[in-house]
Amino acid sequence: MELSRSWRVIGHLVLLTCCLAVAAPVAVVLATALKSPSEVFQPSLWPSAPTFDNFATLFGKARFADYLWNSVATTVLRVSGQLVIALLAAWAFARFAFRGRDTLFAMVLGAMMIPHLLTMIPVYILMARLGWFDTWAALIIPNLAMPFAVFLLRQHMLAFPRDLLDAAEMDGAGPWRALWRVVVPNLAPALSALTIILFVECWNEYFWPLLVTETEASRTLQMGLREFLESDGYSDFGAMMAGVALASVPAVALFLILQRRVMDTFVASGLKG
Amino acid sequence: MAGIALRNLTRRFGESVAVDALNLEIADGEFVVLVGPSGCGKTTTLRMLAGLEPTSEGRVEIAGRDVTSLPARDRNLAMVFQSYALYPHMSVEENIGFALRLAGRSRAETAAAVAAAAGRLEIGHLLSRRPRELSGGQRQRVAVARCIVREPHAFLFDEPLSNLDARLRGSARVEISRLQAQLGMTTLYVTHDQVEAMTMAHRIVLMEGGRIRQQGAPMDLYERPADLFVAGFLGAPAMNLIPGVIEPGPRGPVFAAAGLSLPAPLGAPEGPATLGLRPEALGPGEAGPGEIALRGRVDHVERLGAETVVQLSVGEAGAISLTARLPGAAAPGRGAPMALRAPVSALHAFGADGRRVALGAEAREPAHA
Repeated sequence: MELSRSWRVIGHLVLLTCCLAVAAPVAVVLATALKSPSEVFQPSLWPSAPTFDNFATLFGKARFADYLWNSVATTVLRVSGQLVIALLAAWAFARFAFRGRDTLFAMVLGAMMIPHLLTMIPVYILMARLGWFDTWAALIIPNLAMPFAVFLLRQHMLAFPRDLLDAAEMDGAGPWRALWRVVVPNLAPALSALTIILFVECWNEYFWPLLVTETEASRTLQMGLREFLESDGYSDFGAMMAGVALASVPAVALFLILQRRVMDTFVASGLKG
Repeated sequence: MAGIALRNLTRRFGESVAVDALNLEIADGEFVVLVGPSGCGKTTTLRMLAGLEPTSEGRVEIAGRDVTSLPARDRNLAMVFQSYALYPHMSVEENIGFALRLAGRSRAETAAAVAAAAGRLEIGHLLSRRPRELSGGQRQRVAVARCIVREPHAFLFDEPLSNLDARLRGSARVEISRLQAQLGMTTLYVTHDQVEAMTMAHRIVLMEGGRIRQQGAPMDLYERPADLFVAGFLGAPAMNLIPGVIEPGPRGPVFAAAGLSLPAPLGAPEGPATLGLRPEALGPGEAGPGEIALRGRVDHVERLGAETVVQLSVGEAGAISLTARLPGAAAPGRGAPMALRAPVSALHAFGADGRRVALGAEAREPAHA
């Protein structure tokens, strides 16, 4: 059914409003990052004399480079670990028939229903007993098993063409080689989408790093940004916005790199032989 | 290449039996076609031989060795799947060479073997392409190349031509047969298409309900079907089967059915029986000596060019439907009366139990079923 002209205009106005609602905060962040301290609280959106001083402040005053390194390293290690564990667990659930499989999978589904905040205190105590405070291990290891990732990949593996797995077996591939050489390369769209979800979740995490890190040396980027919000009254919003802009770059870059594959996930109805 | 033996092979799914104590031997270099209707157990049999399906009972032997407990990857069999099952993320070259790379063969050795297999199937120019860039026929060739490159004990084909159009199916049949003969490949080929079975097989194994109904050379099955099922399954158009009764008549026994009275075939016992007549055995015109006469009304005419398939109603109130395959395009129009004749020697007879009744000279020969 074709919409009338007036409905199309209304539709476009609604979409435009939604776009502006999303784009406006991004524009404010970028504009503020380019303003001098004296201009930060001026009502005009764009700076009269754009400057990169706020970015210099980031690396000068704060240990921004350390925060960035901590964030990048822990995120890469954690997301890689999550993907590997989820792949292996999903493969076991999808490929093998073993006693207790369905019960175990029901437990995985159950784990998806438990709010993260409920498990935070017991895990915090565990970290304390293990002496892992202020280490990357505390940032990475407690979050390695992701029930959602196991569930998502298992569903994709169950939908994987049976003939391809049979062909791999006839060609001499055992379950291990079939997983890495046949299944994983063909799950690239799903893995890309999952990588973005896991990356953004880890990269933006604030509360858990706040609990388990104590010194500046182990802080992540999101916590480091908070340093510019001082409790004594002066907050350096320009530097903070510069930090926010820089902190957004990896997530945006990852999305742009994997975008095509993610779109494939939604567009493709199945694997084509 | 090696011989294969399936001994008492059984596959149950809960209460239902998909393959029931099947025994089959395939000689080294033989081309055996498993044919039957959907759900007859032919694909399950093939998959049990491949090791892709567990057996409930029985043994699988390859080259005299019991491999029943071995996984598929250790049986050294190659298979062409109905969907071709080409790896979408690999090029044609990688697809063909995948098994060799898994087996630890060097890159150079693999490349040489792939080039040889691709050359044999005339797909050398496609090696850098991905499966999605190939036509159905090209994919089918790649799937075959992937098999021959490995030099396995035997080749398994699971309805490999069913995704091709009619013209390509014809040429692919010829090509697979030629390749099988050249390489001396021990082959088990599964299909529901009786034309593939008739044209390609050294031996047809016809299955139904998880059991073998009849096996033998294609023309043996065609000319001497063991029972009504085989008679109705093989042949296109299917054999005309007329249920009736053989009873005594003034000039010897006659076959009577719905107002039709024909001289009974020599040797057929009296009692309920089904008469079989291939459509191509029927010809237009009045019957001569040693022939039976049939008169009916034309229901439908299909002109195929070189031949014409005519459907007629015969007998009382046109209760019996017959199909005749006549040479050329000449046939009366729909509704017209038509006289047909057929040699008595072309008649098949089946008893009340559905089994073939040996007639005339055949009754004096050893049984073929």
